[in-house]
Amino acid sequence: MNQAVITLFWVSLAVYGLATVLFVWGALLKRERLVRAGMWVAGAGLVAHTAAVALRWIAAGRIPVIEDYENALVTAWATVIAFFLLTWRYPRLRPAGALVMPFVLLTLGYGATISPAIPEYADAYKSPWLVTHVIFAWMTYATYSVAAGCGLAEILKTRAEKRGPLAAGSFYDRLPSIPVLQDVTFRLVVFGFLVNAVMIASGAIWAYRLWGSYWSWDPVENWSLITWLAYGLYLHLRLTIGWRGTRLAWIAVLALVGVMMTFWGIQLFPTTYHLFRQMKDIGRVGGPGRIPGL
Amino acid sequence: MAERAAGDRDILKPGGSTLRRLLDVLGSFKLAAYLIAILLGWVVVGQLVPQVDYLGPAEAARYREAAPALAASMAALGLDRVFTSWYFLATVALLATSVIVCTLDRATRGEGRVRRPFLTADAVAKRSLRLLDVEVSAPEAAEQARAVFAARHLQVGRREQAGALAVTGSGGRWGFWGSVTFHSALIVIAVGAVIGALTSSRAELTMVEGRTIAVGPSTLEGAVLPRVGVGPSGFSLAMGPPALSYEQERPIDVRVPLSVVEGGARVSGDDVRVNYPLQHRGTSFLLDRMGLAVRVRTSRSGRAVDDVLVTLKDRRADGYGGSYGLPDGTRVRILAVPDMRTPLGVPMTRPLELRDPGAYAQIGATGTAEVTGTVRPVGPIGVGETTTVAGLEVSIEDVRPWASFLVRSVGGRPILYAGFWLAVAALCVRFGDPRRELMVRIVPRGTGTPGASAVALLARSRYGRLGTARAERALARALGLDPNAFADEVRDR
Repeated sequence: MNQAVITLFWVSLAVYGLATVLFVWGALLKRERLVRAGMWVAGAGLVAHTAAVALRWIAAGRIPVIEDYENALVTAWATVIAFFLLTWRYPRLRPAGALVMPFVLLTLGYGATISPAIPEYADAYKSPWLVTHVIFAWMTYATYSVAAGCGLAEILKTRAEKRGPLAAGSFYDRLPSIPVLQDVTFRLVVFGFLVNAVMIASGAIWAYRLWGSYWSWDPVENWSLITWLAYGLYLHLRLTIGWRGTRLAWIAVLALVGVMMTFWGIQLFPTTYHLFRQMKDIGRVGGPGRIPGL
Repeated sequence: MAERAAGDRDILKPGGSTLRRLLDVLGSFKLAAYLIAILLGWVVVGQLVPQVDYLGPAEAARYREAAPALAASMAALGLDRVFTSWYFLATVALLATSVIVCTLDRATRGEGRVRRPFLTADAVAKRSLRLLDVEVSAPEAAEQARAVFAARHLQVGRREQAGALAVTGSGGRWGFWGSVTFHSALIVIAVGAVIGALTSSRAELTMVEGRTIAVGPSTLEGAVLPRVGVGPSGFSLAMGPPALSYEQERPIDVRVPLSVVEGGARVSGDDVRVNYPLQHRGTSFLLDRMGLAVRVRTSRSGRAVDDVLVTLKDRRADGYGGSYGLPDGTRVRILAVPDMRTPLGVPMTRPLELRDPGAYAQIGATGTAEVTGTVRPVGPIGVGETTTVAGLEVSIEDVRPWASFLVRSVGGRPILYAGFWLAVAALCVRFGDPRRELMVRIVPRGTGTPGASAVALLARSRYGRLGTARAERALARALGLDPNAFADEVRDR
């Protein structure tokens, strides 16, 4: 069954690649038809992607929350779902696919570099706090990614408007109005901030129950905290200081760097407890140190 | 962080004293923003410079060996331990102080002053609002507006302005207190963290099946005692037989029964698993690793030399090893390996299991001489057999599982967890009840169109249009207008 997962993974990767081309092409040429086609193709990719997630769940016999392959698979899926939910509510946001889909592609592309073998369901992973932590991490990733997409759409539309009045029916004209883009970005950041808080809290509790420290100033924890503070800054700038416009949108876009570092960039550095390949050995029967094995 | 509104009288900071100015700076948004940026800087430094606390002793030694000049300079600057450095902790402490001052400021200034109405009569009068004709009289329109606002749990007000009626609806009271609670929760977390830092202790405890150990400084390994108070003590722990479930020769479930003994009686206990520690008197015992322990009796020419319990903690390719020293300097090594022979004598490779019926114990000795021999155990892993090694008779007396536990005591943990969830709940309230105000201006149309009036809407929300959109649509429907009739109306956020 895992072979089917791998096949569907690659199918969705390829189809999303095509959708990305259509979205970006549509954005560059300002052709609405290409964007619509991008939505259909992305929808087809989502069907394959959903099947991949479901089959992985069945094949692993547990919710796919373990290690980078599963996290890339499901995080990208959550991002596409968030994008479709948003465009279902605000159809004029479809061109934001030109910003969201490359992101999905990168996430899946990272997953493609990881072994798709089903990892052992080690004791360290058997915790409801891990499931809570990871599910909220997916939601955080998806929400912030789409918020960044909306923020970038606002920046581009504002620039286009500064160059002169938008022609009726033009690409930028078809995007939602600036206030709506601002409101949607803000709402997404609010939701992301909330689920990010749950992610951090549940992760801290899991960490304590697993290795006896709820906060270790681990690089992943630090980036996670910094990201949360950055989005907290965004909220304060909007709600307390009253910032609006592109400078606030830039913060929504740039704060995504923190999200990226927390989720993927951190794998580049060796000094973190969050490298999942080490976790599976905790509590094993046998040898010395914190990472024994059988 | 609260932004000070001009003219606000400050309860927290009376007068224009130095203290007031200091608190002003501490509670300012600008300071918080700078501190977050500085924190980000430290995190980046911590990412780029190898942190010896995470590398572990062996890796840290390799790092120092590979780049001695760099390692020395980083150590001199304290950059190889950023997250425990005074400057990092000072930044965090300053940020926590800023949040505390800001929260106290916000709470003491009170809801009334922070929540001055967005929509004042002057503000409305300056607007040239577009009036939409409706087929209901002014009093009826006012009643409809009141009903819509009340149904949305908005606080309703009504006043007359220059021949027109104005009905207002305002909400967000809970949101304000949600914000205060959220910031207070951050303070609770900070308090919990400080208490935890002062009272936390950490150690390891190795136990053997069937044995009872008094928990205390003499039995805890690598203990780091708390700065305030004493570490865990005053009770004993007894370890029962571990339960292991295997699937394809791999353990899939390991449970170690631990009983807490006080005054000679069992007072509590639990099956300890990874992720499910035993909790007693604020101390957690987390299962870390397990293995085999061998009780070895050593004698020379029939005279007992030693009788020790050796925990086999050294992982080898084919099993687990351990050693013990004798008074004459001889070191005896024990290695438990699986029986590699099938009943037909065919060699095979497989991992050693804790209750392995076919395990061998290899015994070797170093020191005055080195000779190796093997003992064929009987029973589960071989008990009661003797071999001669370097002139020593070594007998396996007993083989039992051992388990090692991380012993953690963090005093402020319940406070921290309460702070975590209070923050999450407060965020839900904060953003679930945004501050918003709507004002409907109703102008009677006296002549020509009896019973009709004209209405205009002014809405304001810190959440933008989305904060009031539902109320706007409901109002439009109630007045017989298109649901989006007010969508493009003048609004002030």
